[in-house]
Amino acid sequence: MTTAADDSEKPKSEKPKSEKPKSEKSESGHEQHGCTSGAEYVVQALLEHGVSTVFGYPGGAIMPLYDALYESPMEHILCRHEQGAAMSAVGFARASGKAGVCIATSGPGATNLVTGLAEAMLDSIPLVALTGQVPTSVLGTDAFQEVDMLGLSLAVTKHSFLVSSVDELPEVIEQAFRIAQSGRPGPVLIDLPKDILQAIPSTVLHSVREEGCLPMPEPDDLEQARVLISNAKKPMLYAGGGVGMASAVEQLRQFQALTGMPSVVTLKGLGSIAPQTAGYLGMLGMHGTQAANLAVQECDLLVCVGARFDDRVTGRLDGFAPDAKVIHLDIDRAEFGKRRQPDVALQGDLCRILPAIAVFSDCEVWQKHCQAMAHEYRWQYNAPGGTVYAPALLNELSQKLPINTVVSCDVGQHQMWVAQHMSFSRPENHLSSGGLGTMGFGLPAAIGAALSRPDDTVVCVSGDGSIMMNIQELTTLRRLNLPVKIVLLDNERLGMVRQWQTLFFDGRHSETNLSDNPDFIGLAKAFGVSGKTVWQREQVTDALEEMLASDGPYFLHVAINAEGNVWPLVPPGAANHQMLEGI
Amino acid sequence: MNTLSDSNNSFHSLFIHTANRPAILERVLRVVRHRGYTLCSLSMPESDSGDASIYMQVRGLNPDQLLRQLEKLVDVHNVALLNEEQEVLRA
Ligand SMILES: Cc1ncc(C[n+]2csc(CCOP(=O)(O)OP(=O)(O)O)c2C)c(N)n1
Repeated sequence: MTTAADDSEKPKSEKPKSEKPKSEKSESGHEQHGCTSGAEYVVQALLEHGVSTVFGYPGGAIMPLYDALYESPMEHILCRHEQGAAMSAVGFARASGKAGVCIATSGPGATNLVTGLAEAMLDSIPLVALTGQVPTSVLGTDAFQEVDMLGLSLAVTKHSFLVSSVDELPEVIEQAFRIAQSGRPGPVLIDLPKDILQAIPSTVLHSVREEGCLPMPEPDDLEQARVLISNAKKPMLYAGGGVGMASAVEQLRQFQALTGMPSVVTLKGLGSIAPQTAGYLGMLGMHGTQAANLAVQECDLLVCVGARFDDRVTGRLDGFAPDAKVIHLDIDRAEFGKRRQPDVALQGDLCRILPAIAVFSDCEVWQKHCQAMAHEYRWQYNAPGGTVYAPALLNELSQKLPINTVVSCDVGQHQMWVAQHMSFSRPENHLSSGGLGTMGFGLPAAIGAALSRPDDTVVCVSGDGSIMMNIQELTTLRRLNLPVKIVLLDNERLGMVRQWQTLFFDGRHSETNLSDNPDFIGLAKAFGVSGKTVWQREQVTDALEEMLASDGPYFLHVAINAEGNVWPLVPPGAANHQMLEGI
Repeated sequence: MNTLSDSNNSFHSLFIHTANRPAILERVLRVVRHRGYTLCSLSMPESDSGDASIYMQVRGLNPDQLLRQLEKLVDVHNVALLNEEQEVLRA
């Protein structure tokens, strides 16, 4: 089937301008499209939704859409694997706050998107995925490259559509963007049978019923929250990813300043509180700071804002903040009481609720106590030896980076070191696969970020295991010549798994040895990306400077000790004050 | 989860008012299973309108939690827990 148009190379720099008729207003006042096919309509509608960049990979069933893209002003980024396309769209969305869009063909193309959909689902990222599907006439016949994508999507999307008529397209696309971006954001899939992409539409654009904005919580509940806050002796602010998603960073900071309470954040909440804030104790949870975990255990009131008492945060749930009353703010009602019963639950827009409950809490003694803990348990970077100490390298790198740098990372020990030792001025500057913990996220997410924030530096911190999961995206990086700086922390191990084997499986290091890794610099060179390797601590400063001074993409390969572990660590089944601390 | 009581781990009758879209039943049943509830009975009377009514009985803890997860389905208009009297009325 795929006898693709091989000679269709179009010059990269001179994209032909769209020759399509512009949309007109019909008599009824609706916007009408003079599109000649469903595919053209889709492209037009994406442009109307402010989408200027999409990530994808072509194939049989989706070819009509690629044909419509050919002469459109839309920037299509050809990734080298559909998972790369989905993760880049997620990175694009996370760094910019706009919806990300990815495209794949039916069957294997669509199934390759699934991990990216799950990624967006678990981290609540607005993503619209368009997949080709076999023609409606053969749906359900196990046709070539037919997969029941609607069925597959159920567990990994907020919503999904299988379009059954070309005239449905306006409403479906409208709804897809609204659903992806409203309330608690998430991924939406649109499955597009090939004949529908080719069919001629006859419909006008109907504006779709807008989701009314969420009402404010009951005045009584707000009052109860204010009373709890003003009476608390040891209040604690616990902020999660929902703050950034709701664009409520300013409101959160004002709330903190007004109440004067100390604060902790989740992995996804990093950047929502300015790192220098008095009483800010950093990340809590499994690899959180001692100060954050100890203080949360002691607090008498926990104000949870856009977070969900995730198991990585709470450790043993019944031992988490045992003496605390809980005020829980979230856009998603299903989070209330899912893991911890709140005393006051406030559903709605964080931007409006936070100011409504900001009252002074007289907690100066407790503030001081928290600040003293922050000082007592501050990070130490003077590890012995001459090999590179990854936490120190990341801390030095962080200090050298411009304030608005986007840092993406992969999953494992290096991910936790990024969260612990780098600082972030805004949540959208820290792209980390939190909910799903997807190895292979870092590089494509950095590509998406670099495209959505072309004026900002983008760094990707990866591990030698993770980088290989989407290594093909180095081609995309090179093709676009994006100046992403990759820092590969190479311990020749699946470090995080090895660490758990060391600590909890009697040191039986089953299948975590990667000492036969490829020559990473040779590999990067093969992709046209230059770089260098460092082995010794004394080489680090120069290497970081060289990397940051380089023009295009750069690959810094850092050999680190295989035995390094992430500390502190709350072991499985333990409460958060029972942290292990190693060397 | 929350404080569990025996009365919680019994039958709960739910009524779901939803847009009648393809896959709606799959979506509802997936949530029921994934969130740890057991389906005991289900009926979805035929309807001419674009909407559908689903009645079901499930076994599991904390039916409120299930309710809130079901409410998040885009096609679902509303979900209610039926008490015994309402059930009798229905029957
Ligand atoms: C796709 C995927 N497969 C498996 C895992 C399980 N896993 C979590 S961390 C990890 C090791 C990661 O190794 P590396 O990227 O080298 O990072 P390090 O921990 O050494 O810093 C593995 C295998 C995962 N998170 N994602």
